[in-house]
Amino acid sequence: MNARVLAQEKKLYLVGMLELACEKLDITDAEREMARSRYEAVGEWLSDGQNTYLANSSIYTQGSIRLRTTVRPIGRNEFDVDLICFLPGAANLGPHQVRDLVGNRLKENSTYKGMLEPHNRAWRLVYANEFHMDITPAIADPKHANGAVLVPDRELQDWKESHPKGYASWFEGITKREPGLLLEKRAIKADVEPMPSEIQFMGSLRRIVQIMKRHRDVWCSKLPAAQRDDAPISIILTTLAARAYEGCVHTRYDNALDLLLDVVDAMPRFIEQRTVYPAGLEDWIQNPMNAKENFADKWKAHPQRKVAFGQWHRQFRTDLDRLAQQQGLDAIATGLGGMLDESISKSVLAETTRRLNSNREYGRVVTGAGGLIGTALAQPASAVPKNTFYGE
Amino acid sequence: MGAYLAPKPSAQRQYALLKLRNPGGTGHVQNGRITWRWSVQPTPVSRVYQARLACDSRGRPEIFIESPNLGLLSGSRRIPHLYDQDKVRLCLYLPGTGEWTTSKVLADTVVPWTSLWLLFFEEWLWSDEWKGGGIHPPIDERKKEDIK
Repeated sequence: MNARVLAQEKKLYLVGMLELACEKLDITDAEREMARSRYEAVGEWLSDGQNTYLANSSIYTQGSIRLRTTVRPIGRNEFDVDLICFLPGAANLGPHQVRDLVGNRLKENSTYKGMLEPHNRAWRLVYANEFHMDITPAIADPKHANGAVLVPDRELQDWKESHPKGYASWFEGITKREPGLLLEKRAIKADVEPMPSEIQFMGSLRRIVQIMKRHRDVWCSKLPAAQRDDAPISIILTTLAARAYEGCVHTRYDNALDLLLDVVDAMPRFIEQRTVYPAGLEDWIQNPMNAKENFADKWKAHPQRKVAFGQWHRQFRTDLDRLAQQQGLDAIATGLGGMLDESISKSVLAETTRRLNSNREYGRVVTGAGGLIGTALAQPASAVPKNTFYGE
Repeated sequence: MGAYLAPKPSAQRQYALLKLRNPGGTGHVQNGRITWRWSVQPTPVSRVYQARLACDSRGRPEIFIESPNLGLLSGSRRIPHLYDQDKVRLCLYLPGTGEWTTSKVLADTVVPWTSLWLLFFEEWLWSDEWKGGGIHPPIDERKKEDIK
């Protein structure tokens, strides 16, 4: 069954459950604040030394933590927090020097030294049970005066162009353009609103990206270890989803599930086939901030990554259709668990019943047509009286 | 307590209110006994259950789930808050507390409680925990219930 043909009430209910799932997947405000205090301390340490290049350095977020599309990782407790350490006056230094400058300063701190791991572009500080803080050194890109940077790439032995701030404001700009959705949904005629249908996506594009990334993570964890590197990378999912979402903002939706389905279905259309001389046809997912950067550049050397994208994409769509045809909270929870992990469906159901019981406690629960349980949308008819389930 | 002062609704009145609140249901009144069957879908993603209410001439209701077969859905597990696993008779209220008295309206009490019970049943199917609250009777009271 195609999820599109579902009844409107069922779609709203599923979106409510997906929103609960995302609230669980997301980094909490407290965790975000803790991350901030951690990286600000790192920033202070970097700029406090004797080195004049580092003295003027500043540290800022990039990637999902900046886009607010973070998802709780599977199998470990540490969130990824990606950071740029910007060295404004270091344009005359080489990539190795800049990289070492930051790495050596971190090693001077006995605490950071024990937490430090070198990565291709970043220095990672591992805060056990909290964060993986990936600190990427960067200098100003002399060719672009709009905040673009160059970052040292160890494998390339060279600078690599990057524009995390620009990408984030591009993404933010699209996120703000919500389709005609949230105000419309109250137009449903029913007098009873089943919980958790009252909560719909907060920031639809971010939620859509979070659901996709989490589904990718779960899907990837079931692949043989040797194939896991082929799973589509977050920047590809995020860029394609944002491009697809951009095409939906002029459409009116009466529920966010249809929007999610439209975005998923449109994503592959934003993978361009470019004729590149002399290589021939090449898949392109262009960085919106840099016409020369192809986020799918690795697909040429690793064609199985293109295949993996297609496999993930089909699986995600199939899983949504399967979820839609389930009947019973239990069957829905099983479907959701298969997509986003059982720990997530568990907390979704727990939160659903917690809300119901809290409303029961306050006498706000009503039943509508067909024995539907919910809260009254308008003037409550008569609330369900308190009862105690008795018996064995 | 208002509940004790309220006049006891007649079987005809109870039946009329069931029809009014659940226009999709069917049933009849015979010699002061009410039979009422109705469909329940507690959430938009839930199954549609067929429930039956049987109320004796003294106004005491019993509620059963006729389909789907809850025993099949729960496999080998014992379903919580049932008076009878085979007949699938639901325990919806605590006797002797005034939650239910014969002066209350069936359509406003045991009928919505059946919806709640089914929602918590579906949740229990997955989580194996009864999240609806409630009390399990001690063994000797359970026997009394069987005798009655």
